[in-house]
Amino acid sequence: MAEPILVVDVGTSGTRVALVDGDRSGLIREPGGATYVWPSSVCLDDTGYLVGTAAERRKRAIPRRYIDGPRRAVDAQASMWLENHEVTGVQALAAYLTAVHTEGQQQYGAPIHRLTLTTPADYLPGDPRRDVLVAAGMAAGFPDVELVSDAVCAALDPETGSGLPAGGLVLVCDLGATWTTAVVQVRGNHTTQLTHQASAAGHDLDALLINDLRSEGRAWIEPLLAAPDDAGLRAYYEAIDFTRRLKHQLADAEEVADHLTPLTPPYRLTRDWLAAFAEPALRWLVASCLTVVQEAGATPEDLSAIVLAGGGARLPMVEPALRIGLGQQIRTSAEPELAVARGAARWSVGAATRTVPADRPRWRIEPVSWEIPGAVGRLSRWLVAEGHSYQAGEVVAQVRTPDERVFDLIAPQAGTLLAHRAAVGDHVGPVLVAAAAKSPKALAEQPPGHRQRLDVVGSWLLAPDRQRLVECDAAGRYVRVRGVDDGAVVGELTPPPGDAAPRGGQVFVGPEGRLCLVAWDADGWVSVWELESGTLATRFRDPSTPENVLVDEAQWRLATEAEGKVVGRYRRSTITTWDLRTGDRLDKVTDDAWTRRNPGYAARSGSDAFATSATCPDGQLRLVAGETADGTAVLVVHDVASDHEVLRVQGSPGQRVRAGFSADARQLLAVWESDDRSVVDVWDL
Amino acid sequence: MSGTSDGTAPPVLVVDVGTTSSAAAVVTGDTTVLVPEPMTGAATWPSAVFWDGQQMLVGTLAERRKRSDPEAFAAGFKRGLADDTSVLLGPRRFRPVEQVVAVLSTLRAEAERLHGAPIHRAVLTVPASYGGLGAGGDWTEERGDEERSRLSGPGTRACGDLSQSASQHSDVRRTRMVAAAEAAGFQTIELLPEPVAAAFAPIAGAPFRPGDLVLVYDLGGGTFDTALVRIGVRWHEVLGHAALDDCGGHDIDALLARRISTDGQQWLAPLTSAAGSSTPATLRLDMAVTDFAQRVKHQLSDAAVVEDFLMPNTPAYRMSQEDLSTLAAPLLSRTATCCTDLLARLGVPVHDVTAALLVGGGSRMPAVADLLQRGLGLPLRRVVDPELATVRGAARWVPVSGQRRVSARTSPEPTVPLSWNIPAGGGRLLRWLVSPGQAYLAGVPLARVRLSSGAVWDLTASSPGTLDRLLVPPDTDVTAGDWLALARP
Repeated sequence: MAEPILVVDVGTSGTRVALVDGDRSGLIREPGGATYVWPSSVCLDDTGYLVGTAAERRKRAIPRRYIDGPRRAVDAQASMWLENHEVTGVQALAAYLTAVHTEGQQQYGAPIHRLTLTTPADYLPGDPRRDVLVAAGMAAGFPDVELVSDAVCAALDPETGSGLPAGGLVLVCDLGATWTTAVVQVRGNHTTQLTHQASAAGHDLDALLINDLRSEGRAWIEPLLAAPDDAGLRAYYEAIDFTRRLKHQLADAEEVADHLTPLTPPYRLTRDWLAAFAEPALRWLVASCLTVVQEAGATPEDLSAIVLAGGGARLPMVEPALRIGLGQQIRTSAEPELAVARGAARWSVGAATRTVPADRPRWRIEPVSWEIPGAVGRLSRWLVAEGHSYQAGEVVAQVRTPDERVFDLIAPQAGTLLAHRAAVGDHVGPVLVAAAAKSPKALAEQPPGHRQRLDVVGSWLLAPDRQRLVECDAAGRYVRVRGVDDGAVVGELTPPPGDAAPRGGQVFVGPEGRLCLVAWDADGWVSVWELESGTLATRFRDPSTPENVLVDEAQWRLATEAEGKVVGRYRRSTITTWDLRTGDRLDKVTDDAWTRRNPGYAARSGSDAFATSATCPDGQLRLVAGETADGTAVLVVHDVASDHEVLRVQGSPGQRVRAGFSADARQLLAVWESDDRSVVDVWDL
Repeated sequence: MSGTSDGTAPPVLVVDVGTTSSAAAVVTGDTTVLVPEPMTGAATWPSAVFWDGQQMLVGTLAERRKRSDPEAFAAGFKRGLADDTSVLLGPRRFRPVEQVVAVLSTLRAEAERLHGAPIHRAVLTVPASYGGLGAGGDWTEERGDEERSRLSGPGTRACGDLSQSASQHSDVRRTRMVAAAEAAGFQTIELLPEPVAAAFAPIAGAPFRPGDLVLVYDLGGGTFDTALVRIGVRWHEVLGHAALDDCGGHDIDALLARRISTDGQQWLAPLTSAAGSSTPATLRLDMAVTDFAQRVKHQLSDAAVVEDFLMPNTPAYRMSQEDLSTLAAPLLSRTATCCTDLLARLGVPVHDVTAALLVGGGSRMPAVADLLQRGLGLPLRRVVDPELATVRGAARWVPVSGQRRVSARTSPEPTVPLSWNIPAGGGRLLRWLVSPGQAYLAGVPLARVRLSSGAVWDLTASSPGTLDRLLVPPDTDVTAGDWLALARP
């Protein structure tokens, strides 16, 4: 089910495109272009739209029909005029994406139906401009359009975003035409942008440079710009490109000089001047970083990474300013303008993992559905309230159709309505569904879904809260705490190996309901571990190496039973009692009747919610776990209201069974024990 | 309730609440019984109320009392339903919807007395101009393509501003009519556009056939309404409608009353001066002249010339059909223009229209038929009692419009609902990846959603099954835990 995905980052001046196929991804070059950056230009020729380099080439001939940055119209939520053609943001962007789509399919060699489009960090959920982006993507022939924030992508850029802890905070400075700061919480498919700020600082810097060019070269540039018709506009576009070029060259040189046209005098720009021009923008950047970090409830020290991305990251003075301003190391890649596209590609590689499995159907609920005449209607009222029963032929609800007819929705058979699932006044259709209780007969015919079977050499305990299932190794080498719903391990305790061989282990419920592992070894050492904290609560030694270990949960005491001396014809057991809070020895007796006299002491927890009978927390089901006449373990579940048997499960010979319901009444659990192992079955109710 | 399992049809009260007069009928199966006004025995009830200080009197009772206290009397309140601003009836204020409730309660009580059992279900006829089905309404978005193209056709544009305003919310007048009927004690209320009802009325001669285009010409007491309907079997489609709110039979009565006042100045003047400065007396005299004008007009429906007396001691007043025609001509020609404008706006040539159906009490005037024949050149069709056309038609529609019982679907195999714990609580369902009837394996993506963050997630099957029904169409906002489809495991 790996579908190819085209990833497009449409920036104001440059666009980056990547192709994702399964787990492989790569940036793609514009046809004829030498770099991975496609000019974000659109030109409306008489033959139609030209985009990218083709548009750049035509702009000198028809400058009035040229726009750079088709997304700007979307940003501003306004139309653009290409000479006398009004072009909306959707049209311009769709034209651009169509060309990218065509090229992408050409290079891939097969159709591509899915698009990942990066969105400016300030297009928050609910912003109508997001709908425009989706509409443009669909108009360009992609049925599925996914949007990801630029900031999220920059944080996910594999070149700078490796080794981040789950849940780590990343500060992103994305310096394109718009400068954006954002804090992103990285958590795989759930990576989210927490805070952001944007400014036109990048634009302003370019404007300062243009103004400087115009004042320095007033004598020669003003006549060019003032030229009539298209010539002036042409010169203006040239001047913009010219200053951008100079700015980029200063990344490697202290000073650059160039000529706008072969006939004009040189214009010089030094790194110092650039730094002076950039100073206000940098001040904003550092202040904004501190603000977004603070708004995210963090400090710069809490950040897992600070990522500098976008073409502006190449300005030599940016990185030092940030490093000093925030007091942290800055991560930036060799090609920062590709960061967003690379991150978006990484996001898209994960598309196949962004899946949600369907909820487990509820055993005792069944849908009752009615076809709405004319397929559409408005629910006018429910005549049977939630939780109430109805008879066969009874009117359950009424629906008003658009022609104002009112239809009665009739119950096919008697039952109980559990949930309406649509409110009065809701538009309903083509089908209206309500949740009804399944009849005991149907329950008996359709057994509940068996979710899983868990197996251990040892024992199982259903915690008294009936939300946790505790798996305990027979020798006490490990304990795993699992959720009752999915059996997922939520906690695990493995005591460090001691000198002697482990002999046994049981989980008991200690003071304040704390789950504790009581484990003992061949040397007679008894250790008590608290599962929640993983700490050793107490440890003591009975040098007589006990045969049996019993715990009194109410008093929180432990008794060791060891084979005692031979007295006459008898070999008498010796009982030693211990305080589990302190590990102190309390008493030592030799008494055959001790266990009978002290029934509070048991080899297993008396608080175990696995029992031989139980009633479901919702009061609707009752279980009995026992034996048939021939001694086979059997679990029987009855519907309380009707006393109908709705489930019967038999065990294998030699098994004993106990069972229980989960606290939310969603699961039935049974534990089948034989001499050496025990098995838990979980059913969804 | 509204349906009984033993098969006998429950009674339905059909009500035409008009601006000036109302009518009702009890429909049981195929049988229709009109509910007569108990005071007069007539089939129509004046849409009039009178607050006597303790209770609201309705119909002729109210009419009779209006002379004693004209300020506690009101009629024509149906016009105020849109604004629903309260008016003073004697010492108390009443909203128009409360006045409608009074009328409906009285009709219901009388109908139940006649029927001998409670009546829980009502069908109310409403003007076609009440937004909703004919005028776009807020159903537009959910209709099928066929329906949508019809709604965007010329028929909707005819309604102009109305369909625009109605496209956001259902017309408040429809909601108020339903609320009024609920307040009057009905449990189930259906609304039927008046021209649709009228076109179901039994007509003299051959009935209309499906596909016929009929121009309903409804000259009521207070308003004139016209609509072009396409005849169907269970439903007539309103292609367009137009109305003149100041052009009813009562406006002709008022013209006539003014004519009588002018003509009878000689003998009326002394009466007026005798009434003197007493306001109630002047009001009473005006009412008497208006009632007299109505009486003269009604007699002219059958007689060429009428001679009648306002009071036993006043001289005879004489009027001919021609006089009345001349008097009513400007008003009637406006109704004809309204009809031709409607057809022009709908782009329907006159010769495509099968007939004009004359309904409403005002259409009894012979001048109407003359004018329509001349002005429109359409064959005219009539009903026996034009003022009862709407209620009779609605009564006929009840049995032909199909039963209202929908049994739950039963399937031999059990179905289970599919729901997902969608991240972030929900999103927009983009599309289904599996269609009904298709089998799937565990783990297969069934649907695709876009979260509010923009991320696209696939909703997968947790166990194998066959998709049975989709409960939510694509492009719908869905919430985690919603039942989105039914499946057979």
